[in-house]
Amino acid sequence: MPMKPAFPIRPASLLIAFLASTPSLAQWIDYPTAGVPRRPDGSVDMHAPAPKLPDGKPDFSGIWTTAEPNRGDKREVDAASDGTDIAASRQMADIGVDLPGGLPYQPWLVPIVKERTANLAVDDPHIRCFPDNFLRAYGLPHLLKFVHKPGLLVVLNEMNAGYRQVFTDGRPLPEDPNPTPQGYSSAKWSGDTLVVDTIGVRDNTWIDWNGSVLTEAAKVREEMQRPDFGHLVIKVTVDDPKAYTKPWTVTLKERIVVDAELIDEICLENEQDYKELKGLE
Amino acid sequence: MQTKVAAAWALAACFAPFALVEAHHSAASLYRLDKEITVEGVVTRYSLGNPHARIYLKVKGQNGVDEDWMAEGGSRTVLIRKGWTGEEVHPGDTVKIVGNPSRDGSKVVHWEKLVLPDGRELWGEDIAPGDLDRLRERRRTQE
Repeated sequence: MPMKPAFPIRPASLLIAFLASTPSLAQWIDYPTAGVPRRPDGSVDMHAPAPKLPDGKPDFSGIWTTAEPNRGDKREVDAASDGTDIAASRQMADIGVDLPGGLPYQPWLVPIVKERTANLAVDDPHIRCFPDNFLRAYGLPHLLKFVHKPGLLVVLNEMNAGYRQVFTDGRPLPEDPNPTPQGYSSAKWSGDTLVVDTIGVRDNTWIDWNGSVLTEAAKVREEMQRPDFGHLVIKVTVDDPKAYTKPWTVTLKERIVVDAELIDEICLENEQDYKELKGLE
Repeated sequence: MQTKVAAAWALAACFAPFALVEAHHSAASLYRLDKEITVEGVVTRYSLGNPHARIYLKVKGQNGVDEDWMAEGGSRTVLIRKGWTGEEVHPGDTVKIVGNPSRDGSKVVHWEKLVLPDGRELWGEDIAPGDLDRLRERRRTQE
């Protein structure tokens, strides 16, 4: 017969004791990233060759943040981030900022975007802690982690601990998808470019702070390239006849983040801004 | 303790030049980024929480009555990466907070700089020490 302890030890007690004795911030915030090419001075060699997958294709694995922070110009940051200097991209507010004349909105969408821009996006789903669509996530100051292997590219988003799957196993896009914030993505290689096609995104999915949207009719193509170790270039073409009068194309640029790790940011945990924002209406 | 709520600079035409981090919301949605106030008070609660760090404090109003203020800082993730631990301030500490006032007049401030009881200064996620001086200069020249 087993001996009884002098006082009962329950699993919950052990957990509480463990949590109480463990520094709450004991995370891998600055754990060194393996396999980083460096210059003699120790800085990251951004222009070293991109890593390869076992099949010889570029490996997009890594943590990424925008290479074009919103500093009021088009200056690209050509240095690795350690996660402490992240910022929103210059396309964060207007993903069509580089397009002459701006995004080609359908007439019904023009006053909506105008109102959202004027009221500083008080109805932004991001503020209400809804998931960010992948186009928007490229420009937000939350780290994205690409986990790439033959057949599958997974993008982890520290914001709301979200994820996106891009299948590269040759599967066709679904014929009648149930719309979701990220939609359904299938990709093929064209040389060293990964061509990602996505459909099945929900109506009224915001893709920038001005309130530009995708609808369920949207077909999004991303042509992803990793030209070197430190950079990711994503040429995005949106064909969404419900929201836009013609297809449009923009290019988004990311830079590598090293010696850092994702930190779950669960927005709903203590969200208090939305009620104040609604008070501004 | 003394309340110091001093409006500093007038409307600036553009907020973009500085890389203000819009982590959970654009700070411009809630705060007048073109203005700056200084709030000094006694901490009642501090949370390095999601989605933003917040300091709650009692501030002596102009009529001598305590006012409840809340200072909102950067996102938890960014501040943790910058070395914040959640032990920066404690209830009872007297702190000074420099930041942007609310748009609707409520007693909240978007902090740019936090001055601790021992005089040390900590910076929000958006602003580095040099950047704050440059931001002030830009506000001044855009008056």
